[in-house]
Amino acid sequence: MKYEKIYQKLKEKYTDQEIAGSMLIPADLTEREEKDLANEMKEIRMQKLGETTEQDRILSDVMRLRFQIESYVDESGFSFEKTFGKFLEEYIRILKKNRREIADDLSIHYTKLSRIINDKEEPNVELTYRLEKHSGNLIKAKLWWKLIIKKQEFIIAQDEETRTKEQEKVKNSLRA
Amino acid sequence: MKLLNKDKNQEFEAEVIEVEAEDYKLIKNSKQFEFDWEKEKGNHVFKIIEKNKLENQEILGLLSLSNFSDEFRIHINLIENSSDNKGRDKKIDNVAGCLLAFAVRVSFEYGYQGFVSLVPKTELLEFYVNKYGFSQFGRQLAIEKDDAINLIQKYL
Repeated sequence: MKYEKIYQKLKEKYTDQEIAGSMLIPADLTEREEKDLANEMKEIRMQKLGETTEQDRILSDVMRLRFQIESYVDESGFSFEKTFGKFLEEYIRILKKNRREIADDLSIHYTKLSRIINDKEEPNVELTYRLEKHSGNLIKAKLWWKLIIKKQEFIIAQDEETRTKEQEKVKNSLRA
Repeated sequence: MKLLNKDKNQEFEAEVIEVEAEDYKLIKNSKQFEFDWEKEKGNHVFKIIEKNKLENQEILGLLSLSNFSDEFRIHINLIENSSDNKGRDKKIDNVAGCLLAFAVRVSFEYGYQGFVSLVPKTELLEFYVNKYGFSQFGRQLAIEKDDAINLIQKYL
């Protein structure tokens, strides 16, 4: 009854609602009860898995994709294998649609979509808004936008050739 | 994820990260937690802290999970806010909600469709159903799919 003791101690200070709102106190179970409940949960889980629809699979995989993007944008490094285009390609794969269907859904030209997926063209902010709506708000425009920024930051830090070329065009720069 | 500082009525960024070996001593000595968290060492234990805070970092709450990979589910063993964040006078709001939502996130990351189970004290069952959208199966609770997504959208 180890958890009951803690519960009774907390009850002296807090209401049930306050306790449940700030912790999960597990039920005190005997070994037998624990085993029975584990078997029961296994049965429930198997039944639920059997009821999974294609729509459930899609939503679940889109959530997983969202977390993969979130983890990546939180990392300090950049990878050409994890660009906006690559994640968009994965999003399309999850939906089991072809590029033409997605281009139509997003009201974007098929060629432009393909160029973005292949990292031949940079997406604009308008596309991030459309993707947010298309994903049922599961992947926000801001998150798609962070992928664009991450690539741009990397390029700005690396691309000395363009920097030099562009800076040659500048006149009357400030002396700092 | 965002937590709410009630005194300042101001949101701030928080993160959930794995508890490190040296944390267990701090947890015990802080006297902020009722459960014996050292007993959870064999499970996956996480702490929620303020993001990018360099000094006086406090553990605001703790979470213990088990991964039942053959059943495609995550089980929550324990959740506990620090004493400062319990009850009506708590300093920070949404700590437990964020920890629950984090467990759901882990479930999605493993490809378990957000399925998360728990076995709370009977007296407290109803609260998790009403506040967080869990479904009741006898003495046990579980959340998945749309309800799991709603929890993520609310707290993460």
